[in-house]
Amino acid sequence: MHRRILVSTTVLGLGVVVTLWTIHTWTRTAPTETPLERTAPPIRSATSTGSDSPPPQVRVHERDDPGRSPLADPLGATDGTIAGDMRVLEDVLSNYRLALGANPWGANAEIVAQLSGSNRRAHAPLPADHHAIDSEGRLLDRWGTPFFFHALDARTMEVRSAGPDRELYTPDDVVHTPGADRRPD
Amino acid sequence: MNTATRNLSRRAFLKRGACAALGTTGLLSTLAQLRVLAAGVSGQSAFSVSSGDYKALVCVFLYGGNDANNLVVPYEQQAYDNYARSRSILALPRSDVLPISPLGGGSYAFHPAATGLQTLFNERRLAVLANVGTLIAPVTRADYRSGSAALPAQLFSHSDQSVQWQMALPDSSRKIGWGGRVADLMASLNENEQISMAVSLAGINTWQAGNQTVVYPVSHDGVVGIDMLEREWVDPVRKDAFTGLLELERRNLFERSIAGSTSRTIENNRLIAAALDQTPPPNTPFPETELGRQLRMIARLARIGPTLGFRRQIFFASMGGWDTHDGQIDAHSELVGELAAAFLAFNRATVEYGIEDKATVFTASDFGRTFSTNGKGSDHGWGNHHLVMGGAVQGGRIFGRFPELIVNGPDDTGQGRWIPTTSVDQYSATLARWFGVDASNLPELFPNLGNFASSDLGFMS
Repeated sequence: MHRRILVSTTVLGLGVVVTLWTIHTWTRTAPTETPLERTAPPIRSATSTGSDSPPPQVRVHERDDPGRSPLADPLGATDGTIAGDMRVLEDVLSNYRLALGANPWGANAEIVAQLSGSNRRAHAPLPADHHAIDSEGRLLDRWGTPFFFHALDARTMEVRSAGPDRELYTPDDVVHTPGADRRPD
Repeated sequence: MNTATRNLSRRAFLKRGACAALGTTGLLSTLAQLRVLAAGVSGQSAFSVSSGDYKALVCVFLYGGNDANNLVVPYEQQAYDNYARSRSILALPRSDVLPISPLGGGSYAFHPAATGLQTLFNERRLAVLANVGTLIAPVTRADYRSGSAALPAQLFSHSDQSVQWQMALPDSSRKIGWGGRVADLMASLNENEQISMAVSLAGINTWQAGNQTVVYPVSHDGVVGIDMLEREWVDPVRKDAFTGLLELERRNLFERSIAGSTSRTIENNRLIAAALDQTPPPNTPFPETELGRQLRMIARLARIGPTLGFRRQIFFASMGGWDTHDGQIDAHSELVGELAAAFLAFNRATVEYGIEDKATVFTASDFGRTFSTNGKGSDHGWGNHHLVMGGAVQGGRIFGRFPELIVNGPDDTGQGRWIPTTSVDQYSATLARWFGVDASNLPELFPNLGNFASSDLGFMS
């Protein structure tokens, strides 16, 4: 009987020691706190480059518009192409999915509103004052026709431009499916 | 991050994990208990069924989002004029549509290609459910516009909305269909539990997937056998060797499970094929279309269901091509014609087989389509009209509230997307009750049902 108690006590004691050692090891190896607000890299000044070349042009967010993202700025640029616009839109949607977990939904104006910050995180990869957004809140292609957003699922949005003839579902339409030809993000 | 924060996170993690585990097992365990109850208690069972009965529930899913705005059209002159004005290029001429006079009043018409549906409606074998859609709780236009409404995730997205329709759980990510949940609950009623009661003519789908229920796919020509065993030219020695391998004693659980399920599949195929061989195809002609062929096989399988020991079976069929963004007038007409002809043939076949009262067919679709046009088609909508057919249906009526066909009117989110006034949960629960699920079990099957005024829409007798 005494022997059974001795064995039980030893096993229990060993269990406690192992548990305490595990907790101790875990807490000791835990990474130190790295607050997000302190992770921003320092801005590199011209003198820090160590050369005579001019400093690289770095676009920074305006302080009075913290949600603004330059991601969509090339969209519809006069020196761009519709293929480039589609790539920009793909990046905008991909960026939105990364932040919100799924595509925006609805018709053009509803999608634009969500891309411009009307979402639970106020994330705005598409600035609300983007030059390609018309007075009705719709995003226009480079020929002035609203893009047509076709939601296939939460992560796949087919985008269609009516093309130069400005009529949807004609041979000159340009169609792109963001995410279809790349790894899931 | 300090130690206290880390420990708190671990506790939170464990707590959340426990909650998640409880959440995911809750429905499963309750359904399992209900099944035991059903098997063990007769007379006062969890189901409203008597012995010897048989019922088949047939889902016809219209993939892509059917434009039911043109399937059921207002016929009264003033209402038709409003329809024609707003629908613009998509409006069907009043002289072409097929008028119906619902028993509850009103004046409507079917699409010109829907002659079969008009016949069935007039014979009171078909009912229309107006403006049904995925909802968590009732939504008003004001709620929607202000952003204060609880909405299903990813409205207007094909994949998400088809899955939500089939789940009747718009706020859940679990891919368990309401047909599968009903099957989980009722499988023990069947004498034959070896063959799944969930038979699909259109492949694997969410609607029939349950916690225990698995989908049994069948082609419109019959069971799909294991290729090597079916071909006459394969050496009989090899066939024997294959079946012999399946009968070997195995220690590995996975291998044993695979061998067991393969053996069951072979046996099930033989059973069903033999039963089909003994039951001639219906004399009723079916259209040689994809849906026609699917419904013909479903009619035959429903006929032999009781012979195989079934008292309840659920069937799944589907049609694609309803995503009519362009060229809608012609494409939709063809689709509606195929649907209507197949429905009429199925009804006539069930009459021929004497099982008309035992087989109920209902439609489902991703969503409705916008009332306004985007060129020659329509965009993704929300609320949609649906069809229910069978001898047990209170046919010749339109159930639910028909939306006011006014863009930016009281039923519109904007752009002619009707806010559903009947939820998929209510629609599904009414069908589930007819199938034999007791009212007390409905909240477990349809957790959001209590958010709506009625759990029985009254379209089933």
